[in-house]
Amino acid sequence: MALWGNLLSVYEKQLYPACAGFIGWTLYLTGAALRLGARRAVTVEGTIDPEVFVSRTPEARLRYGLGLRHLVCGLVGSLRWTLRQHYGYGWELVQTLKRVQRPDVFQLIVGDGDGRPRLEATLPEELRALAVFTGRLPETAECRYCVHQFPLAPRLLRFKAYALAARTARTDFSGFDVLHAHGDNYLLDGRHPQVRTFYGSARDEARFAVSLRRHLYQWLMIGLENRGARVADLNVGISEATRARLPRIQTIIPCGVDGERFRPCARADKASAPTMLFVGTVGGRKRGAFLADLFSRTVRPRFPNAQLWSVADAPLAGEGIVNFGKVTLETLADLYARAWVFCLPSTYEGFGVPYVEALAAGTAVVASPNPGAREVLCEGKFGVLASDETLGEALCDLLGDAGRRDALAAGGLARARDFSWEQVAARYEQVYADLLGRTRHDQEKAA
Amino acid sequence: MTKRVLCINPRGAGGLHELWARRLSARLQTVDVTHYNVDRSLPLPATRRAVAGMLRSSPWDLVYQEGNGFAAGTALIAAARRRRQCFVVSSGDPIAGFFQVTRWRFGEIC
Repeated sequence: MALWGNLLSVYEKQLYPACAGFIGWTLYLTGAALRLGARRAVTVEGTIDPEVFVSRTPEARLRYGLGLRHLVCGLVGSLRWTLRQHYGYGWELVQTLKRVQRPDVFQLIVGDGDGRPRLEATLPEELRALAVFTGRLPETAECRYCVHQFPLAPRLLRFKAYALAARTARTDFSGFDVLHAHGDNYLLDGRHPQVRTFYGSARDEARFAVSLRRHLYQWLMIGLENRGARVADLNVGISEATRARLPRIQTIIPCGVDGERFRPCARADKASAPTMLFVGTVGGRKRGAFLADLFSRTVRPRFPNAQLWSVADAPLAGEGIVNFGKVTLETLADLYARAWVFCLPSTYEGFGVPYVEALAAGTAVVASPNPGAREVLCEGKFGVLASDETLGEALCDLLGDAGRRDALAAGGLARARDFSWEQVAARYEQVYADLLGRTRHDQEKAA
Repeated sequence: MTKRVLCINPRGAGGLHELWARRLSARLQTVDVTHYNVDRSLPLPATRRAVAGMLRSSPWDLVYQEGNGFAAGTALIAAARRRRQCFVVSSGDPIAGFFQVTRWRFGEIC
């Protein structure tokens, strides 16, 4: 170990002087790097991923025998024991337990190694329950991918859709078995086998566009979209509504929802006052402003303590409206679960992922009868479809009828299972396998 | 001319280092960023060769390494000496500095 330590010491003495700069996660590390020869160094604290490290539900604490009011310290690392130093990661934590000796202070030690039994043996019997050893835990779900980020000059940002198509057309994809495009593949001629997924149709987007500019843009995209469908070997649509507009779509595979993240909360955790949730944009086809107006005119007079929670690109104005702005996925899942009703009065949705997320969160859904909502909600079987004239009344009825909300939530949970990531991934795997089989068959035939 | 940045993630695909590097680089709209996830199943010399090959594959304006992994780090030291490859290391884990500081102290405590 001493040899290894000295080798690493030599390594670091070579690494830091050679680098142009060092970024340390703590002042100690930054100082050490400077001492070892780094020319420049800066401390950037708190380098964690807020999407991964979020506050978990109480179940996560209870799983490891930690009470909700216990003070928990801890570490994550490799519990290797260094004989010469008589030290291993976690040593200080275990020692503090001996000094503190409080039944409400716990040490959570994540990791494994030959130091673990030594750490455990250090503690007297009566304190062992206060040190929780979890063993190795996965950091995140395993994924195997590589991302290439195409650069874009600032002046071209407004044309990024076209620029991306041009750049991908110049990219060598020969090392891949299947090319799967989720848009802008209209220049990818001759790249086989190729799958294209359509998340809606430009024709419908153009039809429901609220600005002339957007309308013209979508009309231009219609031709490119059709060309993209011709270029691909297999076209997937996310809904029957999309297939109706793009007849080249052969298979329907819906969008998925993360059932681990979007799930119901306990009844006691639902909002105490009648609450509606909106997720979308204030303007455009999502019509947040329209819903805010409806809420003020129709819902608030009937339910004076009602709230409209808005997760949108801009604030909505009105009494009882709570603007959350843009939120993390964890917060979004929490809002879905705690709201009484979710309402998204879009004029057009190719599929409508927010509807599925609300269903998975066990919240009753109210929607305008757009193609995506009609399909996800099975023509109103799993949620309420209401025209603009009846939308206000439908919201009031649902906010005042707990039994109906519960019935819709129960049905919605069953419906949400049709959109689990497991099912979606399995169907895409099947598509890839079929396409590869077909390509091999064609190649053998040609040979 | 567009600057090219290579992000090396020594802890492989799906690790927190990779997620962090991606989160940082997502804001770089005008820079050509390539992420390279080290294959953790390879032995150390093979990993070093793979990283060295990646460094040679293109004239990178900057290489960003998340963590001070040995295999990728030694390849970077060599590239810096041979081709003056500019690189930055970001680290939250002490290695040798930690050993040097603590070598005797913990022995004394115990």
